[in-house]
Amino acid sequence: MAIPSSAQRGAAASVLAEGLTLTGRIAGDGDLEVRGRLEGEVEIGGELTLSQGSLVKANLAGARVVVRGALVGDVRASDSIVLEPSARVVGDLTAPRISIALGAQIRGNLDMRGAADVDAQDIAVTTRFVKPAAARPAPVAPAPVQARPMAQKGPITPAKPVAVSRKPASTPVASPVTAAAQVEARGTTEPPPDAEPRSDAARKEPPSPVVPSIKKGQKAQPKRKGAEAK
Amino acid sequence: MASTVIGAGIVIEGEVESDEALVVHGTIRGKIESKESVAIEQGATVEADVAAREVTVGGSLTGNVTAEGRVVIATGARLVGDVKAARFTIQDGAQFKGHVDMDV
Repeated sequence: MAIPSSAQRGAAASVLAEGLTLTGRIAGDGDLEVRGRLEGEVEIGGELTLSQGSLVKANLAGARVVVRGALVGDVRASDSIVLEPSARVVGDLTAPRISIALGAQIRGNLDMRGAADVDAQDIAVTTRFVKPAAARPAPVAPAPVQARPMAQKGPITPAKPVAVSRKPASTPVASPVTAAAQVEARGTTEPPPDAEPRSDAARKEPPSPVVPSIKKGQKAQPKRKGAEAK
Repeated sequence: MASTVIGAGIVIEGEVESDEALVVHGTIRGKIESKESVAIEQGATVEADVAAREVTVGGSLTGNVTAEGRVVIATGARLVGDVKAARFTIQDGAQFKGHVDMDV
């Protein structure tokens, strides 16, 4: 009944067959082979194999992970990760040793910082420029790995905000009518739209009223106005 | 040999649905459905409702059991829960607590 590799460890092997659908969390020692559908989370002490034809949507952790099927999720292995030619992976891989066979497809970050080498950072390969992915803290910590997929999807659609910023440009001519004549004289009918059209208007308005309102010999006017107001 | 095996060291929390036979040596909490047989082997711990064509309990099962065919509680096994099945066997030395509905 037992598969030889698991027998070596003394733990029984587990197989999730083609016709099986599992939703939830799997944990424990020993090996696990997934041939069917799996959604959730897997944490295995031994070897985890996703067979050809398997559909897995889960974050995986194991000593050694071999992928031959389709996987959406991050993989963390203490020993190694192997992507066989039939593998289709969307997610990040973290392991000291990672093997990607010719024909395997992956979209995500690879992190080999668990390697014994001192400057493992230099070895780390980034297949996609997402964010400063190299800024990950400890390689062993599982938390950042799980948070990764969210971060990936963010920068993919940056185009929308640009359209929003253009809208204010169409309504900059809101400057008051009184200043219109002066605006024409200066030849700045269309001021730099994005900045602040009102600030321009504020500059133009004051001179026009100030100059004519105060004339020589009319000191009495301000006093009268003040008196009326009171 | 059954096509799906849950090993002794494995703990599953969630739902398991299978078109094929299922053998449990480990621990499952949640729900089990199978179109074929489900065997809960000696040493296994299952806390789940089980629906299958045929159910054999050799370990510890807590939960309701529904089967179109046969339900067997083997010697040394323990079942706490209601059983609904066409045929039902409790072997000598098995422990059982619950209702039985044989659709009479």
